[in-house]
Amino acid sequence: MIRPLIIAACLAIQLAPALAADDLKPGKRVGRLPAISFEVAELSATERPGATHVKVKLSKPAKRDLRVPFTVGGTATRDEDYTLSQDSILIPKGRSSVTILVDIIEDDDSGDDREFIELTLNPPPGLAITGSFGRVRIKVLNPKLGDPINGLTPAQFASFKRGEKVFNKRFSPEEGLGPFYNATSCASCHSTPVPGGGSGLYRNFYLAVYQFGPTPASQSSSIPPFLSQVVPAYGSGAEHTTTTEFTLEGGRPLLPETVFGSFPVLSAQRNSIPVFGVGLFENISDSTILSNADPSDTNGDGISGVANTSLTGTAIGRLGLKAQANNIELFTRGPLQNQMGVTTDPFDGLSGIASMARSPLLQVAADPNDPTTDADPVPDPEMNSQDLGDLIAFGKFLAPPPPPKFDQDGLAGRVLFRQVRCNDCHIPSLPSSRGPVNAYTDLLLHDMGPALADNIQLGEVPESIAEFRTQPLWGISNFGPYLHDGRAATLESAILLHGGEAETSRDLYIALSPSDQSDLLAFLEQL
Amino acid sequence: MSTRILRSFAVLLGSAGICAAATVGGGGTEAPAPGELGGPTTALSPTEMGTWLAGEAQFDRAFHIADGVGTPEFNAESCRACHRDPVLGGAGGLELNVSRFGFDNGGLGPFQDLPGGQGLSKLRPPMINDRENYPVQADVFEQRQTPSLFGLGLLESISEANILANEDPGDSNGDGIFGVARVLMIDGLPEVGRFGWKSQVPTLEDFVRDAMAGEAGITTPSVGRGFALSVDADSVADPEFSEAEVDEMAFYLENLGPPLRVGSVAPEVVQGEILFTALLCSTCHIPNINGAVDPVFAYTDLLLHDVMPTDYRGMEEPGAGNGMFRTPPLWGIRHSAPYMHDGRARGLREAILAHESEGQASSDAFVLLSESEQSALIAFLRDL
Repeated sequence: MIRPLIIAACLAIQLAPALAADDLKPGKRVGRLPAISFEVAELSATERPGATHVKVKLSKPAKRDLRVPFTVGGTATRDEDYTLSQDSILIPKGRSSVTILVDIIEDDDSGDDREFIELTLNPPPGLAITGSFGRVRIKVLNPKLGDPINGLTPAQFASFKRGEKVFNKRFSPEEGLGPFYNATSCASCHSTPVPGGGSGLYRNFYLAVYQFGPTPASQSSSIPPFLSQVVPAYGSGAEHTTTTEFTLEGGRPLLPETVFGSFPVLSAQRNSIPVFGVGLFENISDSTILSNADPSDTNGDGISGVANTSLTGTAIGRLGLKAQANNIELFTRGPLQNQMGVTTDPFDGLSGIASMARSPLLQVAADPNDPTTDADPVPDPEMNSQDLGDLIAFGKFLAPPPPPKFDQDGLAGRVLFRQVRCNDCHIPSLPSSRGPVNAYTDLLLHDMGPALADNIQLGEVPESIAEFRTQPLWGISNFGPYLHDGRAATLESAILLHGGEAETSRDLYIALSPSDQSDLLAFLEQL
Repeated sequence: MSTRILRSFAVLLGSAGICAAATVGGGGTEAPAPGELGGPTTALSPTEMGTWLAGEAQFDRAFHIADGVGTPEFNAESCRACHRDPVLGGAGGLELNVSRFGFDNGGLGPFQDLPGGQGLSKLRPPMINDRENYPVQADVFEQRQTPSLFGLGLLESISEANILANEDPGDSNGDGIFGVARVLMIDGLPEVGRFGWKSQVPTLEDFVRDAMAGEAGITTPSVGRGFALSVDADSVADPEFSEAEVDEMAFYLENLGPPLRVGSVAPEVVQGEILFTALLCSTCHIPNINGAVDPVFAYTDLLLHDVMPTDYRGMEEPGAGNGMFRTPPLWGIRHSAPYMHDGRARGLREAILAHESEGQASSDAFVLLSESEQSALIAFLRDL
């Protein structure tokens, strides 16, 4: 392939035949000329899947097809560091904008953070440039934890950045924290190694339900006065006071052994999970998830993945350790209420969700269509819709951990990962409407053996009582400790604690030579 | 990695004029330079630096089940979990509070400890079901906020006589302020407490044993002073933290430097300092007490005072009644929000206004200041 000129490659200039006659009338004041510009003067593009969208806008719809050349400059090299979707801009008749796609090529070059690409519009006579936006500088960034995904519009990017602030904001009782809570911010628990991550054992929390029949299937959603299965660690005392003044002097609710006489209470711990890239799970179709399900193990491989669904079987869960929620809004409003006591009004509710049915067992203290409310004196909703929308945008657009770069050990480990059949459940990649999602999960529930089963149902399928969703493995070395309650301090200990459907793989791992085991672990560490 | 990020964050936060030169110690771990937040108090010899870094590593270490975390109860599995803001050794947010409980007969008193003691842990190791409950008769609860640990070695160096010199238990000078030292009986002998919200711990070595037991459920060898938990109920052999490790961690804390003043000479800060004295804040937050070598500019008298509302209901300990808390040092206070023993004050203004009882006069005087005077006082505090 012929490489174009590297710097300031002047691309084919075609004088536009497109402008209407009156636009080109001599003596017309420049200010009244139709104007063209980039949408912003500066952008960044990360070395990640997906292109960065560079939008070019016309002040009024084109009267004919309008071709505008542009010049490419900067320190990054075209077709080596990045590709461009086109060499010049063609705005079709009747349209007022067009998007250039800049796709950064994934490589091993760690110097990318200093590189940039510059596009300069060369408008034909009769077309003005608006302000200083005739040129856009695109900074080329190495991927890191906490990035947004590529391809966001400026408005989406701005919402993501505002949402990041809300994610990190510490709430006080005056702002609606409590009356019961475990954390004061999202980042309290999703903290390590950067906001959006997991956290150590010290951030674990409890779930509890009570059982009113002889089998685990007959269990309630929650124990009064908890708002949900989540058991709070702190009480702000608001329920004990008649004034609107807040205190931090309330007792936390007791976690009794029995309730209502003799119904036994079941409890289990949860370690916080990273949320990088989970927004992409929304873009994986139900049929993709279901295509990997094999509830009755018809293929006889000992693995019986089952989707967590609503009672009608139409809502397919994706998020949470039991895949008990299927969209970011639900998984944002739920923890705001359960973990922080911060109430919200639904943003989209059911209407924004393609396959969501009412579920009394979901981790929200209200139906998705209903506002959440609590017993403290701060007026509900305690978080306004702007902040909630931005927080949801942060969850939707937070990118996966940086794509892996394997060394020789890691590459050998990748082969072993397949050989010991880890990837039967930890499926390396699922297709989505935003491209492949390389999360190493099938988003299905699996039996992990009696030692891990917690007997707490989340979602509708009975399998959710004992089983867990295959945990994504991307970036896993950043997010210890492991397993739903953090009982595994290391990746190897996590492997060894796999039982049930994963027993065969665990035994195959144990049978590997020490150097093969170390290669497999290297692969996981490099993910 | 995260520590390094936090450190650079601290530098950004404006420890103005401090050179962020990193010292590389024996273990190859980076440590902030002396004077930098999170660094040692003074330059250490290579051997001392090795011990200091070993202690820092213990402070940063996450204990897991196999290491004996939990009695089985615990609040955190590392010191760093709570003491990390803005760098290792710092304070923690409201969400890292710990809880205490007791019985005060609906506020009528007298206060009694209930079975299980006052401490209410948050967690047990993951595979143990349930968590610690308090007896149902408990009717009074108090949260405690994570204080910063910077400069504690200098507080330890202050003689008991210098602390006792500022006591005024009968308010003999009639200023409405009754400073009282916390006198603890340790192995049959009186010692002045100086660490903890109620000054319940006399030395940093005691503090290490006490916190390892109470917060992490990690056993340490007992030295007969009553702060170690030497045996617990988990299956890991005791002690879970050796005497050598206790010594390393104590050495780290003894030499963890104080936060340095920003040192602004802006007129606002100068005016704030004058107001700090004029409002009698300095009666309890004494700017400095003589230490072993130099004056220690910690802005505390290390005495107990009641600054809670008259109807406040909290914990009592022998020698430290309801609402009695040690004057917290103000050095580096810009780094350690939220404030007061339970973190009830989000910012410095709220913290000043939260002073009642012995602090009421100063707090009232603050309200009467002009807006610019109030800002000046806060600017001074933020300079400390």
